[in-house]
Amino acid sequence: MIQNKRLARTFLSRFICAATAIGGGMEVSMKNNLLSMFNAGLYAVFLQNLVFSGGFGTTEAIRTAKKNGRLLSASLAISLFSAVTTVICQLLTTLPRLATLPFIWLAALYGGVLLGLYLLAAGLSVLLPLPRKTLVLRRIGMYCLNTIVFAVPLLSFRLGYSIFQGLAYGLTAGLAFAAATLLINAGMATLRENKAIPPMFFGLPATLIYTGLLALAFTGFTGAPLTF
Amino acid sequence: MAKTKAWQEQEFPETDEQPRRHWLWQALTDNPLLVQAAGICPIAVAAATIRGGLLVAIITAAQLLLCELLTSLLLKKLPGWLRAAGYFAIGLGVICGAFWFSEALSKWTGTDSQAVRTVGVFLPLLAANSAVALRCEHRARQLPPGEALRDAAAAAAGYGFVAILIGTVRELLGWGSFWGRPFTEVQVRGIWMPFGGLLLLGALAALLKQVFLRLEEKGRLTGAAAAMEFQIEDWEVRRQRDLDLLDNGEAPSADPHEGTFLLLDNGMFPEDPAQMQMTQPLPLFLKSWDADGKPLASGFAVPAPKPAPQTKAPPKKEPPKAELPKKEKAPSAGPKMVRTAPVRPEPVKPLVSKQAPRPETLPEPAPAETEQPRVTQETVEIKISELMRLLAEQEEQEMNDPK
Repeated sequence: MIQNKRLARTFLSRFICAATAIGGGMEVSMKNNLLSMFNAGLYAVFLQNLVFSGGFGTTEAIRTAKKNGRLLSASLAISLFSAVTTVICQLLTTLPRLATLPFIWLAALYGGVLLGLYLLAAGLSVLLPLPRKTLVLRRIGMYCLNTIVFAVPLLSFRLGYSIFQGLAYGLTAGLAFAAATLLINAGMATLRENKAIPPMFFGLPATLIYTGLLALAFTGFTGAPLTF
Repeated sequence: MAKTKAWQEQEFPETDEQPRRHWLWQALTDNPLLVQAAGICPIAVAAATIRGGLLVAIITAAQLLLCELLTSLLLKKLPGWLRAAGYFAIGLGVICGAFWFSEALSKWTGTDSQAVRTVGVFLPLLAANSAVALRCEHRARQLPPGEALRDAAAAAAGYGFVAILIGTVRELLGWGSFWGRPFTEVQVRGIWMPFGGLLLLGALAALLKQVFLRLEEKGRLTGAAAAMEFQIEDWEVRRQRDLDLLDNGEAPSADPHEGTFLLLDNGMFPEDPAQMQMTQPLPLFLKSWDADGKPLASGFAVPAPKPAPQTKAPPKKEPPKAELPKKEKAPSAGPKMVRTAPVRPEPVKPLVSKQAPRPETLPEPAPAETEQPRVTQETVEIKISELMRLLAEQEEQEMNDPK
């Protein structure tokens, strides 16, 4: 009985320590948390845009830019899955055994978390009476199991983000994706109308070069020097 | 219904019926990166050196071979959302296996696994490579295992070639080195950033398209350059393009993912076919225009009920009619249509064939409400000019014969 009480006290104290670490420290004010969340979001969208500066989700951005009417659903799916996966992965990483894993096994764990979340969401979509269920099920795979959603928790871990920062980073990943897709779509529409483009560049080559130039523009936000 | 070969060769460009080429040729004409724009992230991010490009190529090849084979054997029986999870899980397994092998090899040889460390955080992201998922969904599902492996080999060769080439160029220009050894003092910093990879991909795609255009001019290739058009799939743009083709006396375009088209003059439909409910896949995809040539709507059709045969007069044969779904609000005087999943066109018999004796009227539509719409993967392709001529003759006959 006494041993059980000691075990319970030990567990409780460890839980409080973990909760303190999760919350970013009891001594850190809410204002600092909000500022750090805003900072992480700003990095995700502008300063180091996940699509242009990081290269994550480029295929999905280009293919979504090609199809009208899918941007909102794609961005929402990316935001939701990135945020939830990051939060769960950050929580798991606070466990001592998991925090000391080599990076590749940690990434496999993160991938497993993402896969589990996806199966849960898809399973619920199958069971619940959703409007346009077939369309949802057809697109959920592409927008939830892609490089940008998988990169967010990995980058949060690498950058040493707190749970609040990771949450903001995940939520703004969808915004970064939306911004990239809108810019690419606008460019594709302009390129389509331009008859002066030589035939060898018309279509995908021009789109890729245009996306590369956009990425170059966003790289300027990072402040990284480029000497030629 | 199967098309006659002569009519098919004349009216439609070769798609699935192309002569069987070497799989290495398919690596160019069906390249996942330069033609399908899939799997760009690993190239733009990870293939910044030769070793990185080689690692990306090897891991993607393993993923493609394994995923396409398993899709052809097993995964095609699962629903689409579960297949996507399967691709991701297989990718994670391949990544972990590659990392474990690399670590074991480095311990055995006593060297450091530089390639894995070079790729770093981007190595796990290869598990979510969109090139693998898209290839399996668009190809491996419809192929037998042997053909799926052949397709995977072609895709892996094409993807790997581009990855290694881009890694080589980026290492030479960006770091001035070759395989980690100093080669030149010229360094174009920034080429190893993602924008450098994208610009190089665009340049390679342009080179490839120029090769395709030259070969098409000589008549040795068809449709490869058109596959790289990659335009916005805007319904209005497609309708206008089809109208332009009709004005020039040509058949509307056949999109292999949406089926083919039949011109009907009919009533009001909702403008966006995506608003219609999904039903079972059906053979006929319809597009409608009003008398002024303004496009109305398009979608897959349910065959109309077969009219009761008349004993004295010859039965009137009407063109196949489409039915609107029950939720449709706008009243429709003409044929109705419902939205279905896009079906891949396969060889089908034309309703009107040049070689077969031409019927004076169109064939009877499929039977009726007592029978469920025939669920097949075939599509019906109709020569528009023949149909217009038949419709005109039918109208003239009706005008001459008041009965």
